[in-house]
Amino acid sequence: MDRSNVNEALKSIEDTQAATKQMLLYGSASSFILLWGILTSFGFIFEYFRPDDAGLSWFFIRTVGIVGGFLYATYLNRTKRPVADKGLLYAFLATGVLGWLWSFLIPVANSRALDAHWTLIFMLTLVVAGMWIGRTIIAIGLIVSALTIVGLLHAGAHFHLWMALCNGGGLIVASLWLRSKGLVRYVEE
Amino acid sequence: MSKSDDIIHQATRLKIMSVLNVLAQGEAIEFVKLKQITQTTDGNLGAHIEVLANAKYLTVSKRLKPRPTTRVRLTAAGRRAFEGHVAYLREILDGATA
Repeated sequence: MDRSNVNEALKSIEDTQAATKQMLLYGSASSFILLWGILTSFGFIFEYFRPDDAGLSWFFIRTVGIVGGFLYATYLNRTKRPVADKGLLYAFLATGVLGWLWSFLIPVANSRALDAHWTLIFMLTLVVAGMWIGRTIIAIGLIVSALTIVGLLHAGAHFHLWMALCNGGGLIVASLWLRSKGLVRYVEE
Repeated sequence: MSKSDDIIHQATRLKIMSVLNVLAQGEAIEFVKLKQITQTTDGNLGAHIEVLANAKYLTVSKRLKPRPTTRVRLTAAGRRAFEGHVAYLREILDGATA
């Protein structure tokens, strides 16, 4: 076996494993995003019909999302081969903390503005994640952000339904795209 | 000195083993996804998987529910063989540069 043959083999291994890790990341991210897409759609539809109970419902929804995400991350990490690096996790945490701080610091005119604010923060995390995951995710984050601003300015009384469709729907579309590109691992005993 | 593994060294089988080695012990992936990553045909992939399965480097399991799927996973012997082969390749490269 000559040197060029060895180089070719090692390059093939490296490229194949990089592609596999990328597809595993797609598969893992799709489940997180699908969870939040369904929860977000449900939250906005609930808020549309029961605005007085929106605070409690969003608290419940975010708790389910965070606990569900944590449980899924624990499930993925049980194999001791996490596919997402810590930088990505810290980027998500930093934007979450930023959003939380701004919701106290800026005067919020109404609940719709606060809903739009949280959506834009969430989409910012998606755009940041897209830098690791792929450009389609960045595009979806930017499109949903733009539609959120359009809805805030023009959707009027139907703002929450608009958000259920654009925000929750956008996340579900993103998750389905990732799932089609991604790789799911199965544990076989 | 590590040993070359002629079963693994073939280009498509090297890719198959590279993919499966990223997964943890006991984890499997679907045949269709393996085909997607290795960019090969059903027949070609099936033939190479059979060679690797005969060498006991991987196992194949078929399921009918909830939908018909074929899953492939690396065995402990397969992982050792792959890592040994990669070590062999690196040794050649290191020897050539020394």
